[in-house]
Amino acid sequence: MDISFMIEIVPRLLRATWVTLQVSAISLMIGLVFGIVLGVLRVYGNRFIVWCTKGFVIVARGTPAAIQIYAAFFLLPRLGIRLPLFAVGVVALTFNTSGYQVEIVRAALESIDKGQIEAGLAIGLTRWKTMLYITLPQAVKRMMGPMTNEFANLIKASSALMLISLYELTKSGHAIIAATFKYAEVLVLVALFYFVLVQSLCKLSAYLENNVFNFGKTADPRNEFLN
Amino acid sequence: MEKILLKMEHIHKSFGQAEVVKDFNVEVKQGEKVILAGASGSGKTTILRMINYLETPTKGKIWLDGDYIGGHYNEKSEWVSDSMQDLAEKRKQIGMVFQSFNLFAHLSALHNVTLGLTRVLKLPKKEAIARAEHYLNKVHLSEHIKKYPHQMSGGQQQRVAIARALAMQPKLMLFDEPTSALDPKLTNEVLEVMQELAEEKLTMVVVTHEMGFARHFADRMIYLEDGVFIEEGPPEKLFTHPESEKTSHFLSFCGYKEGDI
Ligand SMILES: Nc1ncnc2c1ncn2[C@@H]1O[C@H](COP(=O)(O)OP(=O)(O)OP(=O)(O)O)[C@@H](O)[C@H]1O
Ligand SMILES: [Mg+2]
Repeated sequence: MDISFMIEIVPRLLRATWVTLQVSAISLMIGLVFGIVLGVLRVYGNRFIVWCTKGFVIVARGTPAAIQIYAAFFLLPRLGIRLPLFAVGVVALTFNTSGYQVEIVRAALESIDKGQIEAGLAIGLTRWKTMLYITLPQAVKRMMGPMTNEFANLIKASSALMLISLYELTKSGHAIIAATFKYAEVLVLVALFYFVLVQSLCKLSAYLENNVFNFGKTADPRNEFLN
Repeated sequence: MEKILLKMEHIHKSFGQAEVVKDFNVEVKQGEKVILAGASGSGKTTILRMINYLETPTKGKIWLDGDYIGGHYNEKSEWVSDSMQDLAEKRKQIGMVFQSFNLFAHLSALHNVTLGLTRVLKLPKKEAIARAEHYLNKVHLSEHIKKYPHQMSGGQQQRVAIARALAMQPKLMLFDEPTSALDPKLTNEVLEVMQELAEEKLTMVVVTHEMGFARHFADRMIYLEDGVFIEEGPPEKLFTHPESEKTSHFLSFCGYKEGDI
């Protein structure tokens, strides 16, 4: 393997990694807003709202990321929405991740003991306030693990953005291979960069779960084993 | 002592096909301590939960201190169901203590008590903390206010739950087998606190199998079987001269024997 070549392309790949991280993180954050709002509606909404959120989840999870990216790329201009390539990527990935996040939020909310909600109602909180002050804070901790998974998946799914020539990590590696044919060196580096990205996220999430959202470490019995 | 605080009128409750409460009636006076007794599955929990509308009666009306719970009659004498907001407003007048404590798992003892004070009663933070500390002190927990539920014994948790309900200064307190998840020592801790409350003017409706306690504590005891009212009276009378065979049969099973107390 050509080590000096590998060192030479690191800056280019780093720049592309930054794009990958940005597009995934922004999509995750916007997706989180949709995920929580729709997830709460999915649990607490009336029948029509529940039906709509279910439909959204079916479409968002049931179609491949690549198709969603193509759809955003070709359909948005048709609707008169002209966006920079990066924003098109964000729209597509946000759509994709929201579908999964709705389900993560729903599962976490539904896993909270009914007695917690009844105790909230019994002191005179409304259903919404019970959700806001009791169910949601406890559910956040339970969402951390699945959300980390989802972020890792999203980072990997973002590689499909190469289809619309957004210069994220995979596209960048692809371009270097096309120019130099040194595919082994490039692939090893690209894989390594994805690995480091995902791994550091997992560490960050574990830290958040145990130190920021720890609530005296009660909300999640798994902690007994983690510590 | 004569003012009537709670009325349950012709209450029925069905779950699907099964009617688990049948035509239940009761009036509870202000300051009165009432025990609901009956075998497992006789509908005690269901009756208690209907009082604060955690369970909706299939038929019948519940009335608390001037207002119906779960709805009201409009000018045209039509029944209008309560909105979520109305229900919450009425529920804050009723404290409830659950068999399984149900402390908010993500909050310390202190904040379990302050949550309702700040979010329901809208007290300023300082005042809420002072009131919470007062009630936690009342249940002998001053030293544990910073602990989370999982760091406390069952007896301590149940006393926090009592403080949480008391701090809302409700007109009525409901207890659903508050000690049945506790060992005898912890049971005593909780019963002592309840006995102390009994000496104040608080109105309480209690489901318990602790018959020794019931006898000292209650003004009146109601015996139920299969969702049907069987008889009521001072506990002393039910223990010694019950009107119904069923009552004496059940109470003998509760381990109570003449001369025990
Ligand atoms: N949510 C529900 N759905 C269906 N049936 C129910 C429900 N809640 C209670 N029941 C039934 O109603 C009956 C009365 O139950 P309830 O819990 O009120 O009894 P209880 O007197 O409190 O008994 P225990 O002493 O065991 O607590 C039981 O037969 C029970 O199976
Ligand atoms: Mg019960």
